[in-house]
Amino acid sequence: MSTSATADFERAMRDLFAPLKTSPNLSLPNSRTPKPALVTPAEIEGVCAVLLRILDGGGNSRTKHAWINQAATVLLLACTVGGIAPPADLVLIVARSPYPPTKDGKTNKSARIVEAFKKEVAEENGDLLFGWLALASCGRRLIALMRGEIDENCADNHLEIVFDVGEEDRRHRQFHGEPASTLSISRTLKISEGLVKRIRSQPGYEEKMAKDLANSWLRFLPPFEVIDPIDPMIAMDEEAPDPESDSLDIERRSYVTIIASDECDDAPPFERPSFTHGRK
Amino acid sequence: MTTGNELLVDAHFNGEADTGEESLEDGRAWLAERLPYSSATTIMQKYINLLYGAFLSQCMGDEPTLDDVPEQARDIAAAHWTIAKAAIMAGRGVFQAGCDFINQNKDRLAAVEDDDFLYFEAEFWDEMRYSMQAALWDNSSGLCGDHRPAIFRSFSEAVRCAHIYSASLVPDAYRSFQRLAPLLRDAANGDERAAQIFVEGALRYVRSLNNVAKPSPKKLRRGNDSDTNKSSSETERVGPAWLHQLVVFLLHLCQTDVLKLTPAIVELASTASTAPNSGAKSAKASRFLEMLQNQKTPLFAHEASVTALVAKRLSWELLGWADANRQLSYMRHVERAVAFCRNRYAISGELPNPNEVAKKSGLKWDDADNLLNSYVLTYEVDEYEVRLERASRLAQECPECQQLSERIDLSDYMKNGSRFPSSVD
Repeated sequence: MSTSATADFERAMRDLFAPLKTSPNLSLPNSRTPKPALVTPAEIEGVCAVLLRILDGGGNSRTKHAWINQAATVLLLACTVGGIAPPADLVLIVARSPYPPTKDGKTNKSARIVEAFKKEVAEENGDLLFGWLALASCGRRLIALMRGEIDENCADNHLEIVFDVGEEDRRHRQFHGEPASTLSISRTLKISEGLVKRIRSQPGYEEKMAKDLANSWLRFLPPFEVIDPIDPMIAMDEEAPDPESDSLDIERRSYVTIIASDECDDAPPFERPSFTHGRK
Repeated sequence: MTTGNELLVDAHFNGEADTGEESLEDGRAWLAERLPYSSATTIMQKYINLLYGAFLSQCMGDEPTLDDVPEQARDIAAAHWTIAKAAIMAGRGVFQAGCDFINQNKDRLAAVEDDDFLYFEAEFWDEMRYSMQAALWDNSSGLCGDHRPAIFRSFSEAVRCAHIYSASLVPDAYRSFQRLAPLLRDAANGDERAAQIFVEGALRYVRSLNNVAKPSPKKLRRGNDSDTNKSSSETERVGPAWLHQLVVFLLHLCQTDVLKLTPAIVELASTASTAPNSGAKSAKASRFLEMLQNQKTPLFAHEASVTALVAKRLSWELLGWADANRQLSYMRHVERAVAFCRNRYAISGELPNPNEVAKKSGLKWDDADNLLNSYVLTYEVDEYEVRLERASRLAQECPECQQLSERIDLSDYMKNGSRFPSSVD
């Protein structure tokens, strides 16, 4: 896939999931009624246009069709959450991008996306809006797959695990001045030490933990875990650290501040939000 | 099976059970006296008992009253009571025909062994469905064209109920799914409930497919699993390609706001897909979609809309009445054949011979012969008749319909004295 298609897809997916961050009505999604503002036909069509470009771009590999199939599934589910009809381009993508079904009892990835969606919805008494969190997770994964950061054999929740490992490292470094040990991360996150080592040995792991995750993946976090972006000028007035140097810490600290001011001065220490969504 | 039987009885008698347990017991006793088999032992006998109980609960009652009409339709039914009454009788006639057919054949059905259940059940259902069709003719003959659409609708609704009853009782997931085929045509007309039931049936079938372990190539070469091969070849099953077409069709209906997109449809879309096709023809689903998106208003009175035609083709393939190679043009040929048969029947009271049908419709002789020998024809003729009468009635008010109805005269259909014209020409 070309670099331009990758960038366009990422941009279109960000547009699709952006209302999570900006819409004031979505701070606590308890409503049973899907909010029309959550997803618009134009946003879906934006992603579809990129997918059609990729489809027309030649190649007929199983990996490509599997990827497009998953993207189409995410878009279809987004349509159900938003209560909108699927655009014609999306139907065309489903028709043109078949994916061989598995007959060995293991469901394909697209089916697992729907399962994760249904599980989230079922846990919240049928509120479709909660399925959006699963979709955001899938969107992140599709972008990472496209970028080549993970391969198709990685577990469905691999990105969440990478994020959690990075988060553990960051927290440990913040309080103790050095990264956490492999064993402690392995025990905390209940994953193998080998996986922790593999994640840490990935090229650019440190940079991603510091900047990339904060700038990119955090944008897809669920609505009640993401705060409004802070105006740098206000932050400076409040003697917050320079946003250019450590943007993640600004968000985290300001989040703590919001909680503390809403509750009381002696609020308990900030507890890290759960990023283990979708983990089996 | 006994539990299911009790549930059916409960469902029927709970509404009237003013005095509680006593009435329920009375109801059970009443039904037990009427069931075809007092002590059912085989699967077929239990199945027939359940089906009979369900049918009986639908066709009981004395003279039709307004209570038999759904609440929201009572005003209009009161205003046109003659039509409403005839429609109710047509609906009851379907279930009565089912009960009569069971009573006539109960000895034959009692002899069916458990191993042969699925085979004989399919045969039994085909025959019974034919007798239901006859009920429509009995209840509608002698009534004017104004009545027929309402009666046909009531009849279709009753047949749909019967199909759902049967689908819920057949133990085999594929047979059960097949029985829901008529619902696809209702879904194409925007019936959300029919779409929901059909998609659920499809999902159940797909899940059963995924749960079956694929035999290894080595085993297949050795031929050790002859039983598996036998059972799979006995039934023509729709496969991933058909399901893929179905999904694209349903999504197209959602896109055109005929149906609402639900997670169940997306689930079906995610599980039902077919292998990538690098050929110049592209996947059949893509061609299907192209046809659906470029659909035009039907040109002739004997032609249904493309959406209805696709739904019919998919349901026919599911039922094994058409194979996967049939294109939509074949369905247009069938429409011509149906129009010709209806005309011949209306004029002479007899159906034409296969040679004539083949000549007039463009079907092959074999296909024409098969069509004439299947009960599909009577259903199609009925449906066509209703469409025709609607067009005739509307023609008095609408100039476009007037133009359309002029073509109803079959002499206008003739092209060079041989065939009916069609959009596929």
